[in-house]
Amino acid sequence: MKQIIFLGSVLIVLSCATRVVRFEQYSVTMNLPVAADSSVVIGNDQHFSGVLWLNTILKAENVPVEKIKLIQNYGRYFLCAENFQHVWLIEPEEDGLSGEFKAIDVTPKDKADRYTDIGFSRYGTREHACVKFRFNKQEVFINRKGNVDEKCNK
Amino acid sequence: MKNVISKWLLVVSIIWASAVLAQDIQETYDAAKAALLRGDYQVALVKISDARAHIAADPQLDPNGVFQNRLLPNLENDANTMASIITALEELYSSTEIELVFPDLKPNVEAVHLYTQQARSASEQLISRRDSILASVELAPEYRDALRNTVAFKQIERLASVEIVEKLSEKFTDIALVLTDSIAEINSQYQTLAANLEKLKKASASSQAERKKLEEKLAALSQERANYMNAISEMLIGDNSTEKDQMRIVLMDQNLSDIFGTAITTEIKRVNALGGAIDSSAYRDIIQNYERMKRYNEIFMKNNVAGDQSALLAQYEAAIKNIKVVQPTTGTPIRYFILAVIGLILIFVIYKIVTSQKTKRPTVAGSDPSAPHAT
Repeated sequence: MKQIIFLGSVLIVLSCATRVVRFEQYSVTMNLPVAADSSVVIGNDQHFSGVLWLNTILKAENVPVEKIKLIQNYGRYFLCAENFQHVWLIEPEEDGLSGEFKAIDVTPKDKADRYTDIGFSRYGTREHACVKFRFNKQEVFINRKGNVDEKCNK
Repeated sequence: MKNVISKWLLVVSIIWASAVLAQDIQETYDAAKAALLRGDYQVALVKISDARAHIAADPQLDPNGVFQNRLLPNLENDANTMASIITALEELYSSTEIELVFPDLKPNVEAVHLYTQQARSASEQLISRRDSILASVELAPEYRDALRNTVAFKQIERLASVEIVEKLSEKFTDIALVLTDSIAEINSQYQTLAANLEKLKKASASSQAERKKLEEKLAALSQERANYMNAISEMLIGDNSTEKDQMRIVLMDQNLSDIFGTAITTEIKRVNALGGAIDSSAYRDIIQNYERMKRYNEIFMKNNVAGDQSALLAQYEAAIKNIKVVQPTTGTPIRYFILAVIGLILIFVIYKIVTSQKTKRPTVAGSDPSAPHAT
């Protein structure tokens, strides 16, 4: 009986394993123009992968924005623009129609500062990569949950 | 002094090294791409190499190897393609420049045509070979556009549009001298001939044939002069470039303005002297001549080699308007009469033949189907 249960569980594990393919969801930084309706097209005419409506975020930042920088790390989007006060993390919902977002203040000690000369890149290993955020000649690492650190920790 | 320089170099290299090391792979990659979009493939290749060095020093800069394995090789491939195109364009430029030699021809109208044809053909061939080089390799459209900003591309553009003309201008400067001399000589001959014709018309004893002969000679001189002016305008045609300056100086020194003015004046006199009506073919020639003179005036004015002759051209136009054009007659009354007589004779002959055959025909029994048959 034990042998049957063991064999069965091995078969179940194997069958599950065959239903998984390797898939990495990340991107290089995109500079995306903001449309009049506060939307940005992710990709370009040839490689179109979605639209983000940023009305709420732009309202919160309350600065004129022509372009935003956006990077994807493990399926989550991180975006920012010149003179923003936050990096914004957007996590797509399962319905594929909406996303939860949260503001990340990378300089919590200085609530009034604005980020200039900004840049995103990914840093780390394949299994554990952070978003490196460069601003005001400084850099910080944001992990996949949105926590900020001076190093890329797990 | 040496110490100061070496210290200064050390400081500069430290600042440069720190700036380079502080760059992200993404930024280095973007800089390489931007350089390639400017057509600067060398900077692009240096940046690609920098990015690779950074990744080698710290693999965490490229967590998934997307830059190392995908983006940088693609960009490097485009940069190398652009490099090969630019090398081919540079070779094309050098070879064309060496091969393009205008032979020494006798300075005349024919030489202008031959030189112009050779220049046009060389320019067209150059552009065609350039385009075939561009079409022979695959390159993303944005980088293909960037090629237009490269020195090699611009050099070829300049060679095709300016340098060939520049080379030709040296030849044309010599020819311009000969052509203007020739026009002045024709003007002089023309005036003498026109005066002779005038005298002949006044002399009651002059024959019609003699006058016609002189008029034909004048028309031939007019045509020859037009050919010379056409050659000059052909040399001046195109962009109002500085390469033609030497030729312009020659034309001005030779007083092309006066030569051209005299040419129009004599043409006006010729048209006025025609007096009576002329046929449509001669009229068409006069109109063509007038249109050409108008065009030469525009070209000479544009190149500042002669003053505006619009006033004379207006007189020329007015003289042409006074000409009466008659339709050439296709036959005379005598010819019609002869034709009518021949026609009547023909009809009479046919009538005679037909009637004589009827009287000679034997009557055979049964040959007439309408005749009654014996049974």
